[in-house]
Amino acid sequence: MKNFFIYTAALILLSSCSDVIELDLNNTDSKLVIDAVMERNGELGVTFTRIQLTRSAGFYDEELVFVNDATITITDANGNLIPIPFRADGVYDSNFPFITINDPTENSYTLTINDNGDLYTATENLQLTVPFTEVEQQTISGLGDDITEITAFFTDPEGFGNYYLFEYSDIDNEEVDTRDDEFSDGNRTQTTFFIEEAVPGTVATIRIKGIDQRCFNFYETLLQQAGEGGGGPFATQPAVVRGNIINTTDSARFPFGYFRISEVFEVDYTIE
Amino acid sequence: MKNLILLSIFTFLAFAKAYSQKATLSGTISEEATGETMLNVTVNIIELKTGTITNEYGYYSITLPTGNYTVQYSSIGYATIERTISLDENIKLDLSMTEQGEALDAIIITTDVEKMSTKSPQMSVNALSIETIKKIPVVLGETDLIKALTLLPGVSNAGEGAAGFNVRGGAADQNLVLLDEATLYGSDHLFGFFSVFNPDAIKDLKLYKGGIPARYGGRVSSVLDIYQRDGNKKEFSGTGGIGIVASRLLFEGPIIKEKASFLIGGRSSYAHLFLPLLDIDNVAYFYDINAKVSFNLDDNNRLYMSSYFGRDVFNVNNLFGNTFGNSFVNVRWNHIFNEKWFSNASIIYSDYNYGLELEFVEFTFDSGITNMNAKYDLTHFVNDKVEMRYGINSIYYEFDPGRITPSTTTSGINDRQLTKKYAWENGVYADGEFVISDKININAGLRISSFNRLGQESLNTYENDQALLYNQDLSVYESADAIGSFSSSRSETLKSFVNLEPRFSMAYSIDDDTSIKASYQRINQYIHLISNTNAPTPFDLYVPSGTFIKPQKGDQVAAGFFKNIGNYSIETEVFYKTVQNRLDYIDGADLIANDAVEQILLEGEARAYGLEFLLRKNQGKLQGWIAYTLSRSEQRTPGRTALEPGINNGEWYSAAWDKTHDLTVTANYELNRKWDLGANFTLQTGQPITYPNGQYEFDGLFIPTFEARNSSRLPIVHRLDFSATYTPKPNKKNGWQSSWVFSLYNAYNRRNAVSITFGENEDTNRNEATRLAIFGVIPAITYNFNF
Repeated sequence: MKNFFIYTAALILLSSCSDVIELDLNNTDSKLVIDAVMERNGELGVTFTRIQLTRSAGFYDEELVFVNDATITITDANGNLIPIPFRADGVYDSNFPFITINDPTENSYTLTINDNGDLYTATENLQLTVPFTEVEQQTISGLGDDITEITAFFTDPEGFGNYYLFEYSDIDNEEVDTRDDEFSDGNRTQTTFFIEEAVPGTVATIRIKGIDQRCFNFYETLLQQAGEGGGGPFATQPAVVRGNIINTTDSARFPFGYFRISEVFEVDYTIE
Repeated sequence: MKNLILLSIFTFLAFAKAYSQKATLSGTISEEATGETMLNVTVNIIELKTGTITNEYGYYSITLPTGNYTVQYSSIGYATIERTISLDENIKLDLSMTEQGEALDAIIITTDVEKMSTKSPQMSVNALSIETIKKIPVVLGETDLIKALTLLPGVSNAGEGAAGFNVRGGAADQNLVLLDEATLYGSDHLFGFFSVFNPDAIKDLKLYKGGIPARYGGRVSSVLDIYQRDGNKKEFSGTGGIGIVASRLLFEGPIIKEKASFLIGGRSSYAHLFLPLLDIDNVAYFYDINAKVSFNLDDNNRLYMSSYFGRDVFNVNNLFGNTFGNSFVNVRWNHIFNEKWFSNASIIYSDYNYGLELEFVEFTFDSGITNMNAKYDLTHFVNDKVEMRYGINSIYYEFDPGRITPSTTTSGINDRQLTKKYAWENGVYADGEFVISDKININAGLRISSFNRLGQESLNTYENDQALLYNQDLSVYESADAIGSFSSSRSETLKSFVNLEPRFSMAYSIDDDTSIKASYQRINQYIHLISNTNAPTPFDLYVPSGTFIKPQKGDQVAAGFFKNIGNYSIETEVFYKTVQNRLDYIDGADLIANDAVEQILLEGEARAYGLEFLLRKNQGKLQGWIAYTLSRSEQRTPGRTALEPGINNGEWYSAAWDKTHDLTVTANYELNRKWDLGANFTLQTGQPITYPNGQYEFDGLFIPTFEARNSSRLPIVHRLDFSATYTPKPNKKNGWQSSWVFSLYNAYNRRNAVSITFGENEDTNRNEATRLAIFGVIPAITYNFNF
């Protein structure tokens, strides 16, 4: 009798299945994808600006199309235009010390990209954040292979509406997460990453980045779209994720992506 | 002289006609074996070709001219009773009916049973008996009322594993689900795999898809009215069943023989107990309890107390725990004033709540909706041509969007109660059923509904009353920041709505077996389920209308053709419905624990239209039906001004549950006394889905871009199910009686897609579309017993 139940339970669990199917999909016009960040390391005080330009493609296209011939400048609060030179593979970066210690959040910076005649711009200010205080690790078993839970703690400043972007990266994994402080204002709070097949002895870097509410909404919508998709009772609706960059030449050919200026703290953690 | 005599005779006859007497025949019909009152028993007056049916409490009343009549009482499955009466004055005639095959002098007349339904102006109803429902093969062998209703036209759901049900293209929150007159807020257990109704406790159920009478209100699309059994007043008995996933047990019996009875039943699933054997530390189960006590205080007074408590429990590895469910307690009093006036008064307390515990973030979250409801309904049996109903219904709501509490001392969460909301909904109605002529019956009613949103703490105020802004430059909707908030006491009204809801339906009889019917209804819905997923999840909450949210206003017209031919009946209807003020959500809206939903809502409209066809065989060894629905259900949310895009560029898009074609063939064949075979075939258009039309990479994430919302379809769904019921001792009526039900769900193992997800394969880094199907072929055995 016991065997019957095990067999039936297994049958039901195995009886649901997923398989990969080929679909005949339409392709829409390609748009420029702008991943632009200006980050100031909170401990070292240095500013690093990096912009990667790619083009959106058809769903099944494997090749990532880089844009290597655009002209990028950043205008600071005094009106100075600083060019951001091309590096390689759609990446443009610069170590120019944009963000000064005095009034770091007061000054706004304008990103301008000229892509074959189309002008894209965005204006942003620095968003501050706080450093991590400690990192903990736990293992979760019982859902198939063991999963490693990495939790990084920090103290949310009381009173301000704080929004955070977190990044986890190690040799094999790259994860992104966001949160706000609506229910944790003023408290010691955390971010948690669930990593499969974490290799003990390797080093993981966890970063905390300050963002504003608009960027938080952008990432929330983006994360809903990534890895979900259509159909099923729990799916949320597909959406075109609009960022903060506009095409001043032709507003219909808007870009994907975001221009973010964040203070960043990071911590290196060795996985046990 | 002769002329004078003739004149006197004519005058006498004229006066005699003017003063001709009328008298009323009334009474209560119950079941002989248990004392259970019987609904929908046809009471036919042969000589006058007129009649009536018993109401939800088994009561009937018909006023006729004095005279001698043959009265026929009939109900499917029971032996018809005939009585000859001399109706010179009011007669009270209570009867007990015995199940067919048991009565010694059974008179079985089948031809008259169906006639009343073609004459009645009530249309757009799906009615199923519990016996039929128990024979329908279902997944995992568990009888499910809601799944059975989806086999009839006009009812579907958003796919396997989706909670809720959709009636004539309406949303799942637009169905009024009543169990013994108490409102239930969730109709499913375990994400739609089981319904909350224990079939052993149910006496009758009716789904109104249209032509909703004025005594119901508050939900735009349908009313599912379910009545529980009262309990055996004659002897103690029990019923139960053991299945592979869940079991049930019900006890009933007299408290005072013939006068008072009780009923208590429970169900629970236990599949989770076997998960540790497979090394899985998760828990997913449900349980529910139905209890009822009924008293016949005297001939004219009955008192009932019913209650229900159901819960779903999930626990994933102690990381994530979730409990949710409905409960209610209600007290009802039937009072018969005299042979023409019947009343029912009810007081109901009902509650839906859900609790969530996320251990890795260290908090618990509790939220729900509670209501107190008082109803009074009167039926006035004026005469054989007029039946009037009047009533009043008052509901007081408390909406609790949630309380978030830290679960450990080191938790980073602040204890916070999201603002509770209060409202008061009222309805008063008058409704009449009129026999206009031999051929025309109409039902006309008016309901006046009102809704008062009461004072609360911290109601946000916004500049220009705009909670949602549109950023023209970035082309995105953005929530406005509140400029302040104010509190008001619960005795104040923040916003009130008063609406007239006319209801009308008509039947025109072409002959005794054929009729055409038409109906119109206007219904307002004041509470809304906030949900931006394709089907409701237990995390979705209701919000009341108020300053920022207008009530949904629904109109439906329907017309139909009905015919009985021998053992068959044909019902076909067309309908068209529109709903104004249907809520929609901005992209990326976060609905969980949202204390200011007005910041993410947009107002839209919905419409649905279709054709339903039902061919049913009601008698004989082979019974069943063919049901086909052709329909369309869509929604549109234009921008609030010409500069805003709205949702999906303000264009119509298919609702998540829209199914163009829906065909079901259900058959039941009584092979012999021991074996009963059942089969079910379903063929449906796939659910709408949005296909991607491109992709890009951002911050290491793979992001698809999409076409117009819901513009594509999942593959066609089709499935064949079988069941066989084996009763080893069919003649045994006392002591332990049992039967076995063998079922085979999805006999040819078709992988019906429930969803397609688009993403990047972690291992190969190729972009792919992955189709998920839930149930393959599933055999099941259920052992049913009663004693």
